[in-house]
Amino acid sequence: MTTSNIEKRIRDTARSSEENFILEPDEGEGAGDWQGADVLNREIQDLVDRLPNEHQIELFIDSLRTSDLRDEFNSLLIDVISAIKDPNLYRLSCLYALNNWFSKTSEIVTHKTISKSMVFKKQADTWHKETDHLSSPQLITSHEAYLKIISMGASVIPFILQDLHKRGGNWYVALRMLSDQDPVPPEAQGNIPLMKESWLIWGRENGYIE
Amino acid sequence: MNKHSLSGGIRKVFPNLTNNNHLIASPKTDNYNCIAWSFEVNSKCMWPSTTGYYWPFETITIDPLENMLAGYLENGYEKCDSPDLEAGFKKVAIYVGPEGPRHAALQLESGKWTSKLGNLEDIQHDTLECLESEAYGKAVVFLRKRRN
Repeated sequence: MTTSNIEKRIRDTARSSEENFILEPDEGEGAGDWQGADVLNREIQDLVDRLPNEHQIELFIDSLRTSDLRDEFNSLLIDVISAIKDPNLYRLSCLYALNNWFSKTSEIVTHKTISKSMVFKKQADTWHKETDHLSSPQLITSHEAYLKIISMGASVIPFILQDLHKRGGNWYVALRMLSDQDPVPPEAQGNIPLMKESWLIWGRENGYIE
Repeated sequence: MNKHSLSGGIRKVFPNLTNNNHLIASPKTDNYNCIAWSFEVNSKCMWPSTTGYYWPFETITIDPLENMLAGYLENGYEKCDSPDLEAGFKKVAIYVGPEGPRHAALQLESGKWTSKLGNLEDIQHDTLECLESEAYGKAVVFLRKRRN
């Protein structure tokens, strides 16, 4: 779908939404009692609440990296963000458009995420099998399967955190590289329970895991 | 194989292990590694000059093996020529591969050895040769320290 088509879709949705949802206050007597603005605000807030979080959007973009849908998504996102910033222009309708788009593509993304999860598990199984008996961090973190997992990008962070929780292992180098962060305080270096806890808290705070 | 010896998968990594020359001495855990275990520490993973690892020693050298040995020397160990049991001394053997140190084993008062296998169990093994392998390399550096 081209950008102009997306814009047309957004505007069509906008018109439809305005007809259905934008309520104008009555003038004159009784106008002060009108509750339509509250209804509208709740509607908007509900839609905002349903929007994907930052991590989910990253996952969408990453999952669509090889797909034509990525260009469509980027265009849609730019349009919608612009519209949302202007409260007089299609805010409600653009929220609907964005939510609808995510709904339509979620099946594709879910499929790709499952595929990525399977690739991750295969590589993680190999890595555990071939390095769990080792102590040398250089050998552990330069293993081919470990490097392949890092090359899959930040979208594997949730899988890594889940594996860290279930099976342990030196996932810390991969997590630092993929997130460009290190939540482990200096005094906890080498203390594996504290290091795990630091990363799992970080993962929850940043929406990577429940 | 009996329940006190390692499973078939890991036995392929260590072809010198037999049912009769080792015993599992702890459950699996990644809370400590072989180097920590050789320092008799079971609450941290230790490795020199590596983020995410505990290493309380000050001496740092470029060579990976010398870097590790410096920690043992600071801890009161001295280099020695042989892994043979000596009365009044505990010994550590360092297994070395082409890139540097890969494993450490601690000698027990019986003369047998104790090793933590990465994130797996720690085992008692009769000889250093039990763990010599492509994975661990060979035990070529020996240190000793007087027992308290």
